[in-house]
Amino acid sequence: MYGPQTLTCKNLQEYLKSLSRDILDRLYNHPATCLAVFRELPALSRQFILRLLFVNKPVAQVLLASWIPQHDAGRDVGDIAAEHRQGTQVLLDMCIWQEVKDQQGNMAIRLSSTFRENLKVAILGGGRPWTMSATLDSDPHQRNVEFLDKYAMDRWESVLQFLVQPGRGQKAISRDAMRTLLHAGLIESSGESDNMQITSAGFQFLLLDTASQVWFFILKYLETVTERGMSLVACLTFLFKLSFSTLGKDYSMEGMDNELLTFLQHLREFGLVYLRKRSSGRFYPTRLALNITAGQNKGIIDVPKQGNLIIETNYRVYAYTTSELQISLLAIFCDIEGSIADAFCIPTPSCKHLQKMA
Amino acid sequence: MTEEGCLLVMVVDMHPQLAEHDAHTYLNAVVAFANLHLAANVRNSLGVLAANHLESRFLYPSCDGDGVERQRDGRLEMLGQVDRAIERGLKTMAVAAGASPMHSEQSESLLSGAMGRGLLYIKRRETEEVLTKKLQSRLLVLKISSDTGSQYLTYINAYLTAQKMSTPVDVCVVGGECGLLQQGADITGGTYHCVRQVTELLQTLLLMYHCGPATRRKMNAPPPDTVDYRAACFCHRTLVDMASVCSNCLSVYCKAVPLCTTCNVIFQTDRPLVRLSKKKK
Repeated sequence: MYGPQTLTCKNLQEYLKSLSRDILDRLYNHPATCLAVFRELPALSRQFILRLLFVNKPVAQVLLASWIPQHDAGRDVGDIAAEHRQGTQVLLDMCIWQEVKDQQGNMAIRLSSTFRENLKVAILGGGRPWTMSATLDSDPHQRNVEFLDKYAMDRWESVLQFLVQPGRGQKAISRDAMRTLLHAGLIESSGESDNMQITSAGFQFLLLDTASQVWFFILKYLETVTERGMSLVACLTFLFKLSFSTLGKDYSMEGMDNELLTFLQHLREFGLVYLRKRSSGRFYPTRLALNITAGQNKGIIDVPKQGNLIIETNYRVYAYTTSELQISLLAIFCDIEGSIADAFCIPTPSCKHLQKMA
Repeated sequence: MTEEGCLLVMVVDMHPQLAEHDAHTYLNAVVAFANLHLAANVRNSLGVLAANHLESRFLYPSCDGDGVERQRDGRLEMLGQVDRAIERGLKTMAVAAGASPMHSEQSESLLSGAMGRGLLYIKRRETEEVLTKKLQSRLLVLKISSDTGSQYLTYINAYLTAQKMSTPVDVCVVGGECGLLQQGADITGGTYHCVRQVTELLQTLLLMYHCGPATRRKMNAPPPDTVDYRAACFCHRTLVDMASVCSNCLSVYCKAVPLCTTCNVIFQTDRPLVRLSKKKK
């Protein structure tokens, strides 16, 4: 059998670096993408971009080198120079900077004009609104933040529940979600029947925090997007637009073509947006969709959950929780001995379960 | 690596002298800089105060709750809201200032009061911070009016408070140099720079003031000038090199005075020195 594989998840930078240059150029044609990418860069790279934001001509490399401090009390200047180089390399890899020759024939750097213009629009204004909500009147069925949180967690937990117990409730999640889970290697079909089993990668996935789970899931979904006949650029752009929305506000579906409507439908199934019905013409992004691309620098993404877990040195475990998902998770590697009044259960871990996880 | 967010509080000088420079460019630079700060990191936050010769006022976050506003152009929704709040506040200030005539001695803006309010806002946000992590914060002061020594004491109080709170005070002055604010930047560990023309303002702000203190150390900056540490005397508010100082409260007077106006201690300045007679054994 294969050895255990650690679950690795690319962050936004790595994901974008893996795309082709042509796709990146088309992606940078939208303000939301440029802003999302800008936020994910390291601090020095951001500073470099801002310094060149209003400069239209190529800037000589010599000038950039002069930004490195010559001497600094108590710190190694070599480290700082290395950080500068790293910052520049990131920008080159992501096709934000290009190396050109300036008028004197020296090596120079130019900020990509598509990126520059769209970043300016996203931060300083101009251009057309991209949420297309100016003409939306107020919603007769307005949804508040608590409702959206509950909806999002219900849908997401049903996906996780399916992972935990693939045998039952196959109709509980959509075919697309199942397809993505299979593609991601989180479940595998065993033998001839339709029985699905969770893999070790799946176990590791279950133990991640919600934001990382959602990001990993969406990444894997995007990898299957071209097979389904949808455009990667359109889906990614929509995802970035979504990540900048305000929680509790509704947004219009006007002007979205069929591809995007399908994508929206899938997002509804995963719990990233709430749609009352398709014909209502508006949708609400949930907490899971906000700042989805933020990765490490998450904002307000985690929904507070309740529960306590006590593990004793005699290998007995006591769990105070009302969430079925958490109990099912525990059931994977513990024998549940009893549960009291929906709030308390006493599982005992056993070797055989632990081996299955490894 | 997670980056901490930074709370930036901007104190913007809105003295009517602004009409001599290009007010439009000035305000555009201020709003653009505020937007760039918020855009850089999802955890960054912002406060904006304006001060003119009559009052100081909080522009952002605004006191009246904003309703849900839609995007009007390609800018992020939140940034558009910042813009509108600042515009509304400035309009109210300008209307109020225009209603009362300006006296010739009101040639200075009430920046020190605005700085005090800014520091209070930072302190309030620190106490509201849920996870008891130290909120990184800094103060940026933009000054355009001329300088007199009349606010010297208030400035020094503000600087010492900021130093205690470990909040660097950055200063950018348009037009002429300002020694008092330079002192403040030096005391608190901030950066001081003088810009000759308003058209250079935005590029200078981006180059020197956008990144936090940690990143600033990694970038080359113009070397700091020697700071003018002269104190202003309390009687005439003029900067002096040599002065008499009260031994009780350390107030500075250009001439020796019999009564200290700050702490009411009486000095007998004309008493001749009396030699104590030695006790004969």
